[in-house]
Amino acid sequence: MTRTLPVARTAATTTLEVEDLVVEVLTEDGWATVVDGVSFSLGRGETLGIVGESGSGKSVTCLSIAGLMPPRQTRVRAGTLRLLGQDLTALDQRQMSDIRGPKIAMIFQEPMSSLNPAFTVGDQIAEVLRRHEGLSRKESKARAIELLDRVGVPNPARRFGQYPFEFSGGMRQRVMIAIALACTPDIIIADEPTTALDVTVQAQILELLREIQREHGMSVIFITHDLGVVADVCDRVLVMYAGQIVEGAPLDELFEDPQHPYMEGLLAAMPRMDQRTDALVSIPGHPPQVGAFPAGCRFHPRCAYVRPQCTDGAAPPLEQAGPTHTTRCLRHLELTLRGTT
Amino acid sequence: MLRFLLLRVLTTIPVLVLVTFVVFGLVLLIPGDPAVTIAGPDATVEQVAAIRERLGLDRPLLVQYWDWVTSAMAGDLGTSLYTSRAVATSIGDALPVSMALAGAALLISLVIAVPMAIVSALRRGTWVDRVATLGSSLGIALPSFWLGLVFVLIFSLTLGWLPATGYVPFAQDPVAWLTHLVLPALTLGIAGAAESTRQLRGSIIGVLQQDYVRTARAKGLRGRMVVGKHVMKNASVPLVTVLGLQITALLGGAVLVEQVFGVPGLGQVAIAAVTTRDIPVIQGIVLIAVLVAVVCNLLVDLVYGYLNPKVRPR
Repeated sequence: MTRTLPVARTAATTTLEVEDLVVEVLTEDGWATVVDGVSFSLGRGETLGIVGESGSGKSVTCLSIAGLMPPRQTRVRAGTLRLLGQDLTALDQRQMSDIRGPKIAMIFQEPMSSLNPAFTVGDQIAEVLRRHEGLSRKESKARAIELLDRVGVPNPARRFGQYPFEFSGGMRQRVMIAIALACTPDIIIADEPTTALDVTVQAQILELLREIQREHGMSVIFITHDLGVVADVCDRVLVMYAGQIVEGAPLDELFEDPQHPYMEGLLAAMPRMDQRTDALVSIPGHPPQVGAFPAGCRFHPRCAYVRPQCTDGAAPPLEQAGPTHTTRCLRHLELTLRGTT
Repeated sequence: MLRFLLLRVLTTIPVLVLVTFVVFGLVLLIPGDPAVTIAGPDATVEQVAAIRERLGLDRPLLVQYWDWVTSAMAGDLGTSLYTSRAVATSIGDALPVSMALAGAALLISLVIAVPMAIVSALRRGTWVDRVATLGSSLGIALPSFWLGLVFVLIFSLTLGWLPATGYVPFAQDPVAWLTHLVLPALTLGIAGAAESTRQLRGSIIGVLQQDYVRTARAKGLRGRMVVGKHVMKNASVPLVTVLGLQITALLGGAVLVEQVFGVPGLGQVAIAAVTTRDIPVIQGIVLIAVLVAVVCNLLVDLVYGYLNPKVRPR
C-alpha cells in the first residue's frame, strides 16, 4: 500500500511552526514543566514578540527551538518544531549545529559576557563563516570586516583585530548582531537584546535590527519584558505566564483590546508619558515558582477578576477571542479589560 | 611585546639581587664553621685559620659577597669543599638530567590531566567523573617515593620491562636514556597530573557556564571546537599557574624520586652538599633553583598574556 506524503501544512510564508512544545527541567524534586504546550507559527519577514516576566518560559521556549538547552538537566518532553518544513526534534546534536548559524541565529541579552574575552571580535565573526560557508581565513576576514561595517562599527578593519573588552556595550551588541547576521539566517531569535543597554543605544540597536530584517526579509522572534520595545518592533505578540501562552494577538489589537487580565496588568504597569500618576502601578504578588504552578488558571492568585471556577481543575484552554486573537481566560467574554488608547 | 619582555626581565633584577643576598646570608646562619669542618677534628687553630684565609672567610662580608656575585656572573660558582670539583661543573652535569626528568614528568602529567579534566568536566556527576576525581585524590595523597617503589616492583622486578635505577645520557644511548627516564618521570608525572586534573576540571566547569560558551554553541560550532577553542583558552589560566609551580618544584625538589631511582640530578647533588655542609655547592644549587623559578614565572606571565588579552601590555 502506498501512501502519498502528507502535503506540508507549512505554507511558503511560514518559517517556523511550534506545536504543543513541552519542556522540562530537572529540579531537586524531579522533572518540572517549565514550558507547557506552547504553539505558534512565525511568518516570513514577521517580527513576533514574546513577553512575560522572568521565569515565564519565554527564553526556554526559544533556547529549545535552537536546541541550546543543556542536555541531561533539561528535556523536550513533547511537541514538534518545524523549520521550513523540517522537523527539528528529529535532529541530533550534530545536525542541530548545522542549523544554528545558517538557519537560526541568536542574539543574547548580555553583550558584556556573550563574547569570548580571549579572542578578537573579528575572529568570533569570521569563525562562523569558516564553519558554515567553508571560507578561507582571508575570505572570512574580508566578509567579517564587511559585516562589522554593516552593523555600524566604525573603523571596521582596525576593530576586527580588537578584543571585546575594547568595545562598549552597544558596540558589542552590534558585534553580536554581525555574528547572527553572518550566514543570513531565516530566523533571528533576539533574547532581550537591548535590556542591558542605555536607552539611546537601545533605540539604535532596535533600528539596526529593523533595517537588517527589512533588507533580508528575515523572521525575528523578539523576547522581552519591555512593552515599549514590543510596541516599537513587533508585528504580533505572544504573552507568556507560568510556562503557557495566555494571550496572542497582533500588536495594536493586543494593546488596545487585551483579552487576558495579565496583559491588562502589564499594560497598566507600563509607565506612560502622557499621564502623571503618584504611584507606579504593579500587578500584586509574584509569578509562581517552577514546579509549583497553581491549579486552574495559573494567574488566578494574582487576578482581580478571579471567580471560583478559575481556581481549580486543569488550566483553561487557549480560546479564540477574535480571528487573530487568542486568550486563556475563562471569563474573557464577560470582561471588558482596559487597554491603551 | 618586546618592550614587555624587556620590562619584565628588568623587574626581575631587584628580585635577583635580593635573592643573592639571602643565598649568601643563609650560609652564615647555618651552624658550624666550614673551615673547622674541612680541617677535621684534629686540626690546630693555626690550620683552621690558614684554611679560613685560603677560602677568604676572614674578609669583610660585603667583600665576600661581592666576590661571590661577580664570579657567579662569570659562571664561576666556586669549588666544592669536598670533591674539589668546580661547582659549575657539578651543576652542569646534574641540571640536564633534572631538566630531562622534569620535562618528561610534565609531558606525562599533561597527557593524563588534560583529557581527563575535559572528560570529567563535560560528564560531571557521571561515573567517569567520579572515577577521575577519586583517581586524582589518590594521586595527590600517595607519596611519590612509595609510588616509585611500587612501579619498580611491578615494571622492573616483576615484569622486567624497564630498568629499576640509573641514568644514561641521551648522547650515549637515546633508547636507554628513554627507558631509564620512564619510571621516575611517570612517578613524578602522576602526582602532577592529579593536581592539574583537579584544577583544570574545576575551571572548565566554571567556563562551561559562561554566556560566551552558549554563544559559541549558538553559532553552530561543533562540540570539539566549542570545548577545544572557546572553553580551553579561558580555562587554561589556572592550569598554567599550577604548571609554573610544578616546573619549579620538579627541578629543585625531585629529591626523593631521584634517590629512589638513582637518577644523578640536582636533588642528589643537593643532598650530598647539605649533609657535608658543602657551602659553595649549596649556594650554587639555590641560585640555580631561584633562576629557574624566575624564568618559569616569566614564561607563565607570557602565557597569561597570550591567554588573556586584558593583561597584555599596549
